[in-house]
Amino acid sequence: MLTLERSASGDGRPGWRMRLDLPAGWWSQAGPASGDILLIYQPPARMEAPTAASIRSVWQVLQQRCFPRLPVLLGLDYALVAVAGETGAVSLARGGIGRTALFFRFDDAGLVVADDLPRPGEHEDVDPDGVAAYLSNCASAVPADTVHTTRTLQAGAGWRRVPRSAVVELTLGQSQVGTTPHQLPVDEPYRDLDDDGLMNAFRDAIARHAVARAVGRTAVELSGGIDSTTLAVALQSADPASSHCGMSLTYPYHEFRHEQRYVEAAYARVGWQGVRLDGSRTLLFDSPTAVFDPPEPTRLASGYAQLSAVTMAAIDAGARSLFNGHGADQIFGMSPYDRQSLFKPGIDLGLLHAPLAARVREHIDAMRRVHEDGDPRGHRHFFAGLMLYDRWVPSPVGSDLACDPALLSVETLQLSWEVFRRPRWARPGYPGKPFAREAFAPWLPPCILERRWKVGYDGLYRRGLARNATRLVAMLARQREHLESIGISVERCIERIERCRAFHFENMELLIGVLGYCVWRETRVSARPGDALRT
Amino acid sequence: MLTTLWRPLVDEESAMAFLVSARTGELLALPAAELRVEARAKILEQRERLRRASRVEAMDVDDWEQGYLGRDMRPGPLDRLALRLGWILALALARWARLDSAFRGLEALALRFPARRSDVAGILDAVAFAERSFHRAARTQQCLPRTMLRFFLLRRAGHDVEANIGVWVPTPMMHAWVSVHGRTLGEEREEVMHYQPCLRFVGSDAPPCREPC
Repeated sequence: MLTLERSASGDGRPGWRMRLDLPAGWWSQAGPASGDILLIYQPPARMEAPTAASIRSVWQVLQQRCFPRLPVLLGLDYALVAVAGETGAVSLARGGIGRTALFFRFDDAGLVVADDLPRPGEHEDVDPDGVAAYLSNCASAVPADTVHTTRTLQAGAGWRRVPRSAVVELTLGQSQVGTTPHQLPVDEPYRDLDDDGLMNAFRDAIARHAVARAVGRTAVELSGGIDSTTLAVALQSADPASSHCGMSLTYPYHEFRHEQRYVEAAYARVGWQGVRLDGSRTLLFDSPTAVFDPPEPTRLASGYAQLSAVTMAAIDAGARSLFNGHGADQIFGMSPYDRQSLFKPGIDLGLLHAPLAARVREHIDAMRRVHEDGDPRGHRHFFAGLMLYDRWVPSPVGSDLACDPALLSVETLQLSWEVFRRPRWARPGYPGKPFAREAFAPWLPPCILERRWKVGYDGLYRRGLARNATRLVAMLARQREHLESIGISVERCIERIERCRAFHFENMELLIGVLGYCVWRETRVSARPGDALRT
Repeated sequence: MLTTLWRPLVDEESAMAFLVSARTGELLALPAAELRVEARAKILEQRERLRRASRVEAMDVDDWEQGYLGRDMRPGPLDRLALRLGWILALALARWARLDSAFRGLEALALRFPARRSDVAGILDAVAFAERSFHRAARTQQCLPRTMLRFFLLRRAGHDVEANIGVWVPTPMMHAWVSVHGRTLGEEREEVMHYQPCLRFVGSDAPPCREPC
């Protein structure tokens, strides 16, 4: 729910007001142009409100109402979480670029959150315990039968800053407050398992969750890699009677000429029928055939064409759910995101105007400092979780096809945390995926188990960008005013696209992110597929 | 005898042609239509020293099976010194020398100072030792000096060998590797499979071959 215009409340303080189209029950309050977000979930009136008697209950409310069957990583993303105990209404607030601290207060309009204040020093820094006490005082003033609780809190309170390291949870109307550091609730239930026991537990967990999440006939996106094959075999072994199927993208390009042997080996292993799709027609920024509506900007917007090809083919094949191997790198301890790769010095921010580039660098430095204060493996896990969250594949037709992350659950995250802790798998090393190769060896065909590299997609990215250069330039021109207002240089973006079209081999990383944002933004305005990339 | 083969990699989808300069080793990307204009093609050939090379339509590549990757070994003290010096010279050649001149020089030097015939695996191990002496990482980006040193030692031992410079079309990534009759030596198959050779220096005792060998 990204809001695009900064607005001010009655007294001139920064805040936001906007309503966007969201999944049932959700609505948002607009954030400023930098991308701050305030999400509010209002359950149907007849839904029985949970009693939030503890922090864990708040998490349960969030898990049930916000992201069904997805473990609650919200504490990593959101600085402030408010739950109305009587109604189950949930408010989440997060910063935009980076996970910045937020300022909040209550006034006649309700809960107001901002990422900046016009006058420095006008806020009060409150430690986590202090925030809890402050909110507790506010919450006690709320009438028990209030519906939009956030709108009726006592006015006049001053600005407070939510500490960066705290997630503040507020159960309005019941004076229940709590804070928690931004990490997964780790109960360490697998600490006493030996390595073999841990691998067994992982196999059991994957198989069990795959069956639990398979809604009838399930399609699995099979690439011939370790991750997707593991998932397919887990599903097949746990549910052999069902008629699942596979989806595979094929490419006519030189580097993909050997991939078929791995794909065929995967199909032979599970004994499924497969649907082969021509990937050369669904490259980066090609026109999609379905409409996706993720609630937040996502890099996946650059790949809507491929997502729509796979999801619509799964629906045509009679599948009710679609699995892929997304998240496996993070779950199996392979995630390469460490301090060196996450906080690369001298990154290319040439597409941004100087003020925005400076702000981005400040946030990166702030995140680096947070990272350096903690355990390197713990932070690798933290950022792996963030990357996984960002890659959640939306379903174009939620009533026909569920696209929940198949590998992701609280249990697999706890297991993966244990994998991260073990010296045996501490470093991804070469050829990589040491844990997955050991743990899932009984499931994998020999050629897939032994493959040392996965085919690279760099060629596909460059082809897609070059092929769609004209339409991308037109899209940037339509959004020029907005992009310039948030600090992105449209001229430089266009220049870089033209150089990529001529194969001058420019750095595409930030460009793809900017273009993905533009596609996402334009898709939300128009409901027709392909409109985002019209000429 | 060194034979230089070259071919442009034409990507029909993007209508671009990719080739590697035999002079500088740099990747050139230009509209495929430009190659079809004879006058411009001749200028390109002359500038990139391709006139002394034979244009071919294809270069055989056999990368279906994973070949020998090498093992850790530690040669004797004199061999260690020679290998390390050889690596330093290969680095210097890769960094500063003209590509075709470098391979001509390596071929001439190998023929002038032949060695007793050694097996291919042993030579691959020796070069790996030299590389590890200077680079701790399991994998390095030093494919060109590695290829030059392998080429020299294999030719010196009397083996026919090809030094390939390939491109991952349509990206800017290039790779260098050695092969025998197109069969890749000492490389991760799933890495080298991304690259199509477009420049090949063939060291052979047979007469020059103007068709793919």
